[in-house]
This record gives sequence, structure tokens and C-alpha cells, in this order.
Amino acid sequence: MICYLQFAKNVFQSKLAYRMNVFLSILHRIATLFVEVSIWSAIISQTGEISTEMGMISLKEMVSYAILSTGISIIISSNTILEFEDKIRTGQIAMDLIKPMKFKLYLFFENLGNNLFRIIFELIPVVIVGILCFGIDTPSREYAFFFLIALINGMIIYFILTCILGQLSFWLLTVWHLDKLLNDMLKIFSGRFIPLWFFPKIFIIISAFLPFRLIYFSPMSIYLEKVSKIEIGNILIQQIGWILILFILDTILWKKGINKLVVQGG
Amino acid sequence: MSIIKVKNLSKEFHIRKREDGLVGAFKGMFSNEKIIKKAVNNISFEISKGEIIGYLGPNGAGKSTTIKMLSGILVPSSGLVEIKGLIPYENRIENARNLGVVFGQRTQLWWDIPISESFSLLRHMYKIPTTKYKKNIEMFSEILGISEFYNVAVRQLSLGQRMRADLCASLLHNPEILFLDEPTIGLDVVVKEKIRNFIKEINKSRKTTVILTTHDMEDIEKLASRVIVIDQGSMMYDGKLDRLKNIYGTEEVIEVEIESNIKNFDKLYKMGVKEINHKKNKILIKYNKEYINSATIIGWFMKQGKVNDFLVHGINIDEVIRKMYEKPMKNFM
Ligand SMILES: Nc1ncnc2c1ncn2[C@@H]1O[C@H](COP(=O)(O)OP(=O)(O)O)[C@@H](O)[C@H]1O
Ligand SMILES: [Mg+2]
Repeated sequence: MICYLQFAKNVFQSKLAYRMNVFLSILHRIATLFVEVSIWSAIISQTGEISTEMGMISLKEMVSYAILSTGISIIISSNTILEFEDKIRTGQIAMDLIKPMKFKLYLFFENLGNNLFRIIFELIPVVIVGILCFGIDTPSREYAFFFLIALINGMIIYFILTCILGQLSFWLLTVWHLDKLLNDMLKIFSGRFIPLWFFPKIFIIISAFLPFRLIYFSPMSIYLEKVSKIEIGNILIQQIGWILILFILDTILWKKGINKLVVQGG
Repeated sequence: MSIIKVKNLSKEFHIRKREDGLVGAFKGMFSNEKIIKKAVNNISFEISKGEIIGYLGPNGAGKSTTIKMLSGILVPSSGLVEIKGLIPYENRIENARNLGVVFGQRTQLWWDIPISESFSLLRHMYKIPTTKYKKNIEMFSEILGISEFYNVAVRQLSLGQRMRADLCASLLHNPEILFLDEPTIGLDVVVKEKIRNFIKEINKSRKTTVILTTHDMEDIEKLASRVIVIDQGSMMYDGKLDRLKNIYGTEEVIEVEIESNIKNFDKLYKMGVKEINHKKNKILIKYNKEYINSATIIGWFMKQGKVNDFLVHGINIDEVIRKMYEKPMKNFM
């Protein structure tokens, strides 16, 4: 385990070398956040609140939603899919496979190092700016706790999804378009920009069959205390269910992929 | 007791046009249209602890493919590989602990971080005790001079430096078995020599079993006593290097540069030389070592006039293999 933590540490360290990128990234995030908040203010400001499938939503809640969703997108963003593509296309994956380590666990911890870096150098500054400029609702301790659990589950779901799509490089020449596809699906079905509250019923039903809302919308609705305790239980069970399903799918794909792996060159 | 067992090992590549997009992937998973390329074809051998094996063959012979199957990266199409009783692709991680692997064309080090950090990662990965780790680093610095670039990131290293670092990385955990796939490719003579000495030293002091892939005959002559030759995936020879050379490698070429203009070579032909070619002011003489040696030839030239320079081209592995086809050896295994 120490070895895997070392991977996280190393990624963290090598990212420190590119601090200028971080600065630009923070600016970009903050700009997006301002746009989002302005849009919501324009929509909601006349009435002060807006009626939805889930009851009344206030401007303050919508602003909190925007800050949170920006925060989550900072934490989960990764390039696992493209990394997979690159490693398989170049055959560099061979160099990972000659080492006594579990490849997925290695990727996971590399990701963790990345996440940690982004939490410290992107998430915290952006959230601080967001709170200072707009303010944010805070949940009760209990809801905060469940929010954290749901958030971590959501991150795991996202990670396995990217692994699955990345692994398709065993069969496909390129997968960057799948990376785009995943991002588009997330934009529509996860509640990243527009909460599912505002969507038509049929849309909510479709999204209920997909894992994407469990990454953004569900943890945030816990944070905003829009769900009951029973519904929280329901969300956590669904998340764990999806983690299991995706994990099994991922394992099967990996086994099949490794068997058909042809390492090019050298 | 053999530490590596390979029995009737084959690997076929099913080359199929991979299609783009999800639909393409779906089709690809189920379609049967493909060309089959036999990269390794029914190879068997056994290797004992402490041997250094030269694994020879021309480009595309199947050497790297064999090494990849031994390392557990590629799954064989048929046949058996056993390393210390383990089947590599089924026990990849456990097998990896016994192995050091270097692929000359790739690096196993992390691109963006200094060598020292990469080594420290490996230390944790292989759970190398601190004293052993320190001792190894010290020894590697001494023989390969890695301390010069110990704190430099891999992407900033020259090929020779990178290869030395890779070699160290593969040996930090004192593996019992070392696979080297073209470890000297593209390196200058000095670095080549350093690497050869290092391999020799490790083999002597640790009884490390080495399989060395190369098409540089000099690597083999300096290191290996036993060679396995493959071509187009099939085994051509497995045995002592000397025997191979005696049977096939008796022809050499000597290149002589002289000042005077010699017209008549009849005498040389009579002495047993096979062929003489002119290349500007150089003369290439092909001869059979069984009948005449280089010293005699040079001696003859020196009598004719001033010899500016000469160079003996030893046996070339491609040449040896070409001859194996012309004059196949029976019962060579
Ligand atoms: N990933 C691959 N896909 C298809 N054919 C391959 C692949 N890797 C190797 N080959 C083919 O298998 C043969 C053996 O290759 P290789 O083992 O790399 O040879 P060597 O290392 O002896 O030069 C070559 O003809 C090569 O073209
Ligand atoms: Mg090769």
C-alpha cells in the first residue's frame, strides 16, 4: 500500500512543477462559476424562488448548487481515458505490466494524487471565492456526512466509468470521442449544470436508469437537504449497486482485453 | 534443475483492421476477418539457474514476442511457459517479483521524475530492504556511473544514460532472472562495453540467469556461452556458441587499405581466399577461417606495399542464419 501512496505522492509532486497551469485553470473555473451564478440570478431574481418537481428552490440554494457542482467537477476531472488510450496504443502498458503492481490500483492512486492536488490548489481557492462572493448554504452535520459518502461513491463510479471506456482501446484505435461522449452524457444526465429538478418527468425517468446523476445530482441534493433520510439510503444503495455492476463489467473487459493485448513495437 | 521451461510455445497475431467508433468496436469483437501471423512457432527450451543465454535472430524473428510471453505481458496462443514453476500470464504479479526486464526500445522509469525518485518507487514496490537498496545503488554507481545523472528526469537523459538507468532499475530487487531485449541497441562502444561488463558481473556475483536478445554478435561473444537462434518464429539452433561458429561462422571478411596498386591476386587465391572485391582504395577479401587466417593475409599485403589500415569483419548473425538455410544442420538440438 505504501507503494501505491508513493504513486499519489509522485503525481502530486510532478504537478507542482506546472503551477502556471493551475493558475489559469483556477481563473477558468471562477469565470465559469460567475457565468453560472449570473444566469441563475437572472432566472430566479424576480420571484426569489422557483417551483420545481422537488418543491421550491431559492436563489441561494441554486448558487450553492453551482458552487458545489463546480467543486465536484474539479475533483473528478481526470484523463484516465486518454491515458489508457496512450498506454495501449504505444505499448507502454507493457512497462506497467512487468512490474508487480495491480494496474488499476496504480491508475486509481495516480488519480488520487491528481485529485488531492486539485483539491488543494483549485477546489479550495474556487470555493473560497465562491463563498466570499455569493455565500453558500451549509447542511447539518449528519447531512454533510452522508454528502461526503455519496460524493466519494460518485467519484468511484466516475473512475470506473473512465476505466471501462479507456479499456475499449484494446479493441478501438482511438477512444477520445468516448471521452467526449462521457462528458456530454454527464452534462445532460448528471445535473452538472442544470439540476434534474427542472427537467421533464420523462427525462428524470431516463436518468434514473443511468449512473450519471449519482455523480453530481444525488450528492448535491443530499447537501442541500432536498432528500429524506430514506431517500439518502436509497441513493447510497443505488451507488453501491452501480459500483458493483461497473466493477464487474470492468473486470471482465480487463481480462478479455489483456488476453487480446498485442504490444506493438520493440 | 531448470528455472525456465518453454514447451511448444507459439504466438499468433491475428492482424485485423481495427475500426473506429463504437459500432466498429462491436463489429471488431465478432468479425472473423483477419490475417494470421505466426510470430513464434513451436519453440521449446529449458534454461538452468546462472546461465546466460544469447537469444539470436534477425529483425522480426520473434525474439521480443518470446520475451513478452516469458514476462507475462503476452498470452501464448499455445504451448507452455513456466518460470520457477509459475505460469507468467496467470501469475503476472508474482512472476514479476522474480524478474528484471529491460526492453531497449522503451523505458520502465517514470518519464517526468528524477531517476532517484523512480528508484525509490521501485524500492517500495518490490519491498527492498534499505541496506540492500543502498548497497545496490552504490554498486550501480560504481560500475555504470549512474550518479552523474541520478537526479535528472528520464526525459532529459541520453539514450546511453537511460539504458544504464533502466538496467539498474531492473536489478534493484536482485531478481533471479533477467530478460534483456536489445539492451545495447543504438549505443556507442564505450557504453556497450560498460553494460556488458555489468551483466557479466551481476551474473557472476548473484548467479542471475540472463536471457539476452540482440543481433550484435559481439554482445553474445562477450557474454553468452549458449545461444538459441530463431528465425521467422522457428527454432534454428540451441547449443554452444563455439559449435555454431565452427559450423557456420567460418567465413570472415577483411578490409584492407593500401597505398600501392596491386594488380595480381592469384597468389592470394591460391592461399585459399574465396573472393576479392575492390571498393575505391579498399580491398575486401572474403576467406574461410578453416584454411587461412587474417594474419597471413595482412602479411601478404604488407609484402606488397604499405598497409594504411585494415579491419576484420567477424561473423554476422544474419549471415549465419542465411547459411543455416543453405546447409541445414541435422540433430542440432
Ligand atoms: N503487435 C503485433 N501485431 C502484429 N504483428 C506483430 C506484433 N508484434 C510483433 N509482430 C510480428 O511478429 C514478428 C516477430 O516480431 P518480434 O518478436 O518483435 O521480432 P524481433 O524482436 O525478433 O525483432 C514480426 O513479424 C512482427 O511483425
Ligand atoms: Mg525485438
